Amino acid sequence: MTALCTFELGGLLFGVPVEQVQEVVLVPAVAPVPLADPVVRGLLNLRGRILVALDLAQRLGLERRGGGDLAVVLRAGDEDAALMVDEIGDVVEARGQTLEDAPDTLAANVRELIEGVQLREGRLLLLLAVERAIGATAQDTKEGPECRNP
Amino acid sequence: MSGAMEQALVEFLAESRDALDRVETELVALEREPTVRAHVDEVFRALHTIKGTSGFLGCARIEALAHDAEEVLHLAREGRLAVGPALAGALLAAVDALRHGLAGLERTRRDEGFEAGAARAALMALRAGEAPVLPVLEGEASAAPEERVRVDVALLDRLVELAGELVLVRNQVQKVASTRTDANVLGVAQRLDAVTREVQDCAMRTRLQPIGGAFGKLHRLARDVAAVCDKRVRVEVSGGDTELDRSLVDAIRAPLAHLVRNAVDHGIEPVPLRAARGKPPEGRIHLRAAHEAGKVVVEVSDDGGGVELARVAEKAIEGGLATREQLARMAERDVLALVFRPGFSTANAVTAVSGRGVGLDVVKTNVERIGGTVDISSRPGGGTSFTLEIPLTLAIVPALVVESAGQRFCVPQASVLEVVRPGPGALESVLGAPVLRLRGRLLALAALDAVLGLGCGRASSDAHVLVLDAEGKPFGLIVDAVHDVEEVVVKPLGKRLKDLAAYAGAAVLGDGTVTLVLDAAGIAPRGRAGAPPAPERRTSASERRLLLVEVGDGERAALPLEAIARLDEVPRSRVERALGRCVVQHGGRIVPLVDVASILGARPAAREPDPLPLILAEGPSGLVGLVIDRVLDVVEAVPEVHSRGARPGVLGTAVLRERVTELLDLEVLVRAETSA
Repeated sequence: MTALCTFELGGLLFGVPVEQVQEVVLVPAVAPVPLADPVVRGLLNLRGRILVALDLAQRLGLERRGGGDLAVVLRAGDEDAALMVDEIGDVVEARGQTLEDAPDTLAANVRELIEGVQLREGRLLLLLAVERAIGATAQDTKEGPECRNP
Repeated sequence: MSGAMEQALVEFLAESRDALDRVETELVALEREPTVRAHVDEVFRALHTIKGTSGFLGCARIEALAHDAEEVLHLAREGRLAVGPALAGALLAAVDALRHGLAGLERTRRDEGFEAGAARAALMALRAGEAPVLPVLEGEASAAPEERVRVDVALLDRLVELAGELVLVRNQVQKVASTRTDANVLGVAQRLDAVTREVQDCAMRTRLQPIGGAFGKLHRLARDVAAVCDKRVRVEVSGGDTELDRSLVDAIRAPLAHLVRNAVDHGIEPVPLRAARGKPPEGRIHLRAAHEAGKVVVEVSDDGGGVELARVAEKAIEGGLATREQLARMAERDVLALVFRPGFSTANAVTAVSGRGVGLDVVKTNVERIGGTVDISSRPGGGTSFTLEIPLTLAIVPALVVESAGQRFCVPQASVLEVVRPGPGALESVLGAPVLRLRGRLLALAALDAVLGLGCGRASSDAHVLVLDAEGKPFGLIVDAVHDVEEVVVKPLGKRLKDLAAYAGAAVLGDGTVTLVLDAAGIAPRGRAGAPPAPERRTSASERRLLLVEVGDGERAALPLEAIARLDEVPRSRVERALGRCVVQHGGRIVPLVDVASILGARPAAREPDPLPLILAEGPSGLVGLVIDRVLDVVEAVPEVHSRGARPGVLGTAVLRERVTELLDLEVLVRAETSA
């Protein structure tokens, strides 16, 4: 694994592989998508491309701090999405750190979106499973097909 | 020269030019490094190919020259000829002569007008071990300027994409410029507009390809299928040079193949049967393509036996797609259209060719996926014709920008039949379901904000109703406001949002904001307005909306809602007599009344209602008022008719809402007369 881009969300520290991060953007205005899963905050226009803005805080049982407009544009395969975050952290090297399974102290719905954890200077760094995060929905703690409209 | 040959020639010219350039380089290198095998091989290969293809194309001179050059090289390879300046010189002379030949071929499409003699003589001399006399060719065999180049497809796609973005930026510039008075700004904006249009046009045209490319393999396909089916078939093609977007040409290959296979397997009759019918033994399948009003129309027709409606009906009943009663009432083209349903197959045996039931529904789906439509028409004994209509460009569509609950949305103009501004009170309701009366018909309504779960649907004073086409069935969409029409690029929603049936995609408006593009079929009302849209498609043939009423003493009856103009009530005192009939004055007209209860022979109700509930429907000479006792409800049901009506005016009985209900025959009722 190479470098990780880190960010803060709801008081937790997350990391994603740098290759899967396209950029960091400010998202001042989104177009809400009625009927979509609550995790979908809306659609935004990034230089002509239309991206989905996701707010995973609720899904993770966390509360956003700062309520800002910062988002990390992630890419997994040919799907991309802008993930709302509280703060952007540093880019750190991944070498040498041991990967452990997520501890049970983390809530189940957080653990589902995590690929593993590392210990960094006394803090837990949660490695976000990017593909699952992009496809996550608000309620079910099972990963599965997208929520179909009734 | 036929189209296929022309194509082959063009490719031959391009490839040979490249090949000769390479040969030239290799020959020079060979002269310097006579022992390097690779140089010889490369030249040999190139000459061999040129010889072969030119022979196929009937270019005898070029072929002969290439042949001689190849021979000489062969001898050199075997060591029987020395590799040196003489050899290189003779071969290079041959290359020059070949280039001349190709140039002439390109100009006149014939292999002539160039002097191969001297070059060939030099080569022959070499073979004979004599010193060749190298010809001096006059003038440079300047290749005609390249008419075609090879371009990376990805690059072209990017260009088209950027052209689309340019259009949107142009729109933004125009919006901004329109608020300025500076003449410079306006002038520049106009120039930008003109240039952008041309860029867009050219970019789109780089993607255009003749549809003949998709027709090509169909001749062989038909032949092979005919052989398997022991039939004789000929494929004729017209309009193969009709151009459409490259991706569309690719997309229709499979549907066309399917239709041709179908035509041979099911359409064209076996030879003896054709003879018996007085037809020529060879069946004919005609593929036609043409531009018509912004679309490309592709027709696949055969002169076979046509589609037997009776068999279609039988198979539909067998497959549970419709009941006999529904079929009896369906128009012929609707019955024919059943062949496009999944699981439908008239094949009695599963043939190796057509398989089981995976048939025309796949064709329909694939064509619709590219925004097209497919239709079938047939003459019994005379043949069948499938017509595909495909949009010319996919990229930019005009859309109506509307607003509801403070948010803007786009509706593709293609779905909008009309925009209506209903006056206050024109929106009526049939038992809680809002409807709009439009030119005598009732139009089901849905409020956009309610459909999207955005609000309580308080009608704004500026409320408009968009009459939208949802798969052939119109309905009205209530929105708070209608803004203007914009050209937008509809971008698909990502994986996680594409299941939302309400949206066809998203678009960026001229001012940079993102809006959702609505899908008419996805938001059409499914019953009561405001119900969430169902992701599945409604089977329109089976479900109907019926008005449930009470007639006489508690008897139940039902009529199709779509046939009703409106519901009303009149006080008994307004019923008058004229010409032996009961009539009322209504909306400036004299409306004759029909007492449904007495026609049905129902017992009169104990208490006569006042005011009289009326169902107004169009009769042969104007509105007719059907008098009933009570309107009960609107139901959506698949009425299973139990017994055919023995009385005129009744189609049959069915069980609706757990009660026996008579299904009324409106046609008869509006013609009945109730004497005063």
